[in-house]
Amino acid sequence: MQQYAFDMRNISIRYPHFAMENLNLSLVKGQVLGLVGVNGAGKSTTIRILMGLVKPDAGQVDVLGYQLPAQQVQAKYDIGFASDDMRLYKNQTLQWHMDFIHSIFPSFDYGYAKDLLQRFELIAEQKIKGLSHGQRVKACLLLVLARRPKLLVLDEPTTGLDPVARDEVITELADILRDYERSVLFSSHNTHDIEKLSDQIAFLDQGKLLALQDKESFVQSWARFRCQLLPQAQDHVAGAVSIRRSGQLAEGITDQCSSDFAVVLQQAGFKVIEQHRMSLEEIFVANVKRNR
Amino acid sequence: MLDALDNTMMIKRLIVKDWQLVKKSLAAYMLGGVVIIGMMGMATPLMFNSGAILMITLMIVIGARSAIELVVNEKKDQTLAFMMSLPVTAQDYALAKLGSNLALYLLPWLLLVLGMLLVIISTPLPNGVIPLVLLVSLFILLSYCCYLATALLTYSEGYTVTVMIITNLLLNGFIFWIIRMPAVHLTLESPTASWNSTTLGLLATGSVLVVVVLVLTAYLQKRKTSFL
Repeated sequence: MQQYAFDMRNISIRYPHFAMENLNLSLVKGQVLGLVGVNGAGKSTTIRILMGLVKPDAGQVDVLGYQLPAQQVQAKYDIGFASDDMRLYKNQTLQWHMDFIHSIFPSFDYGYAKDLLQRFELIAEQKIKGLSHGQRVKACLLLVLARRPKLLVLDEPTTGLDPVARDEVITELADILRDYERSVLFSSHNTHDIEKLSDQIAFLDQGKLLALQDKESFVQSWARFRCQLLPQAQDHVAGAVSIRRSGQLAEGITDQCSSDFAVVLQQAGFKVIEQHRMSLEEIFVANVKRNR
Repeated sequence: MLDALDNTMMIKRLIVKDWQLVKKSLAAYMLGGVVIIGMMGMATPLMFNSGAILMITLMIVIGARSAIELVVNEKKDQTLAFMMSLPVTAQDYALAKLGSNLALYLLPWLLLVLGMLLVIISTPLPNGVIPLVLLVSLFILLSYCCYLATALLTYSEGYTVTVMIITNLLLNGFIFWIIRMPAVHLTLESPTASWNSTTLGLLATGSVLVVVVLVLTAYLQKRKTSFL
């Protein structure tokens, strides 16, 4: 039986301009799950429910064996959470924050924190207000990682970072996540970041889970075909997610890529000129368009 | 182990954290309070009245700063997300905020009120002014509880500042109202404090209202299902 870091079952919540209906999402222990969605897709709501900060209208949330929101206090001792809208106290130093976190979490590892200070090029005695946005994000991550939580929840931690800072954070995170066995939920609208870090990827849009697969399955099952239209070309092709026609040419996208699909296209009146693998971003966009 | 981690401990830590955040500014205000009490202690009508106005201002500033800095700014500066990532519920957090704000306001409020009473008792100032001082101080405390409740329930700077403005305007009206009362007015110059049914009734009503506002705040906060 698989052990889950978290398991969300039939989650529903309704706001005036947003609804989430019967969301089922789980993460196997030791895996990194990337949650991809545009702004307003429901990523932050999902994470807030997972942190016990929002009570869903219906459904069950189990995190590390604890029922949320009822047992959120116990669960939070083992959850590390960082988000793009999280800030530290600007008039205090990073050292003050480290001491504060240590006073709450005895598992806070000063040795590891010192190592992270060097890796993130941070100065413990510096006040938070003197840090750049990138340094503040790194400071938040340091405070979370040094606790060595069993489940790490990162809500768009790279949003607003310049490309260099983002690359630094992602590279360090990838390195850190390789070092230690822990479960991670990483949300972002940036598919490049998700691709670098995740074992499994979930697409979320308008409060619905569109797809949940491991990274390799996504890349292998999705493909784009450039075709020449034959006179007998049909309107629909079995297995095609979309067919876009432009003059005598057409572009077909499938989520069931195999050698058979090229044959199906040929039989439907589409002569395949070339076949391309799709990037995660292209797969995400195709998924969203299909479901809207 | 988790059973031992009673959340009273977390609430205490959050209160201590708030104390660490404001202790310097609070020390500066208390220094200002000592200077103002010194002014009032000169016991001339000009210095006492000027000191009284400054003292009212100081009490309002300490309260306003406490509610804004420790509650509203926590959301505005986005440190609330950091706090809520800790092992606390929204109710624990609100309770800690209520506790820290009350402690960090009540303590200076109490010291300032006691300082004023000490000055009045130990100088030639008429003790008949004591009921007025206590009633005005209690009204300021009640006002503070009202905008603290607004801050805790809405985390909105706009609503909190609106309640602050309303209570400050009401304070002026309240002072005029009680000074015109014969039970207060006629005994202001007397050498001893006069405790009659009017002053005692107002003090009791004010104290009950303070408790009602605080209990209601805790109750409404407990009913919230979403946080952040």
